[in-house]
Amino acid sequence: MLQTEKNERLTRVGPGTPAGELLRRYWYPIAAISELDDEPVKKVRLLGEDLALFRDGSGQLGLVAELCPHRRASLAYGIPEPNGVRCPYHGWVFDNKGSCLEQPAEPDESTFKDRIRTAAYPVQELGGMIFAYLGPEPAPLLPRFDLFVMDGVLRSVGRSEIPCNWLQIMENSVDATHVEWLHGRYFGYVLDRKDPGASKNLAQFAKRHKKIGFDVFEWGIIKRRVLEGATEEDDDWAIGHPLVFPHILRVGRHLRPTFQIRVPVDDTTTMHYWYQVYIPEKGVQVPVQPSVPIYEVPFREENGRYIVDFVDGQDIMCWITQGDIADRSREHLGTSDKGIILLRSLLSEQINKVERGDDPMGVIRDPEQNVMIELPQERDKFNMGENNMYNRRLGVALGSDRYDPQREQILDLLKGGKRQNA
Amino acid sequence: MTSLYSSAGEPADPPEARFCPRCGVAFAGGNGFVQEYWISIDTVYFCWCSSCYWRGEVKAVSEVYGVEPDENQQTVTNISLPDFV
Repeated sequence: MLQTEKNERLTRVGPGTPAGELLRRYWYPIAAISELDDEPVKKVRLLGEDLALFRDGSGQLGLVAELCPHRRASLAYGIPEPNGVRCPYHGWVFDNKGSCLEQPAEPDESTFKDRIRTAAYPVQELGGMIFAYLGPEPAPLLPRFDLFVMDGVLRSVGRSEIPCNWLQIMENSVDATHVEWLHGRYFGYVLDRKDPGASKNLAQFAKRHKKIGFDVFEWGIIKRRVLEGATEEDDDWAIGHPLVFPHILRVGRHLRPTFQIRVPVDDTTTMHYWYQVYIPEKGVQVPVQPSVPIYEVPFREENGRYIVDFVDGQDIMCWITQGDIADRSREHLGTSDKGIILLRSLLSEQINKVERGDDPMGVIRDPEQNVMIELPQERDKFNMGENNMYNRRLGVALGSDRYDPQREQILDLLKGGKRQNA
Repeated sequence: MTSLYSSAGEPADPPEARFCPRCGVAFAGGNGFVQEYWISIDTVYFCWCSSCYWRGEVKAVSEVYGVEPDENQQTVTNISLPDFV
């Protein structure tokens, strides 16, 4: 049980709220670069603020408050101009610093435009995505985590807008034992009802947890587990995988590592990105990617029930059914929930650091520390062997990437693809 | 054993760890973090104090067991305590 007062403090994301002020110290992906190729102006909502993202005629990105300060029409329907975005209603133009450059209906000699500004935020491109920062200046560096910058890989991004608060999604990432029940027992139940015996491929998920552990490290929390039949020498314990504080889970297999990025849109909405990287074996040719594609991951059937025959769909079902904002004053945690308690405590500590005027954990200001940030992750996950079928094929079928339009290309790459000298 | 629910089926209002055991500051408002959880029959409060940065756990004691008394000694061996922290 957590007091309602503390629950509010940890979950609300708007401007001026304790968690909202902490979350504003980090960069968030808000679109794939490829999306602006099709539509150069796009509406974005982040941390409770409505914004317009644009690429102007000179190729500069901009992110400004959605509503024009003139008559409050939406700049998300604006026209890209050489140095900014033009409001569709009366033609006012704003650059990516928020300055008003033109007011075409005002007298030529008017200085009115010099006294008008709109909110504008920094945006940067990395790894095929566009990232935004809504916090106080000076903005920290956009972290160059390994999956965003490594060469010789295939990338793809799945996305779902999840109708619940960001924190219950993050708590799932330090809830080690849910794997054996939600993705083992329940997944098996779902599959066997469709096709008796189909659950035989889920043995890795259904292994019992003998021990779980959580360590705070430079970038967040490392989650560790010892499964039935394994020891502390195995990767699941010796290496583990991290929750990158406050909003990213690094997970997956060594051939298909993933960032699950949970972007707080507002108090009750989270944009979930699966930033998938497929790493070929040495000597295997990687298809040329002019841009990183993005696709939608569905989570509801036509009849409204959640889609629960894939791993991520099962997680989504649990996150949403916990409520818009999970009522933690009515829960009952046990010793297997220690990871969740640690995350909440860490979040409280980092909120407090921001309130004292300090940078929270994971904020980078030294470029030398930001060349490429390598994160720990198991090679042999669930003690199944590095080259088991899940790595090669089954993972793509049971995860969010089953909806990826590049799926066949990915499977081909994981199976060995084309050799460079063949 | 303390019930976790009131008779109406709503969560009981459990005893709270309201003050830092180290520096005594109240955990109300934005001060610190208190998370209640259970280890079998025991109610435990994980605490972090934003004033002195103490981190630790407080456990609510429901029973204390002593050793078996000698025949001629008048010693209380089992003390039932009210719910408190």
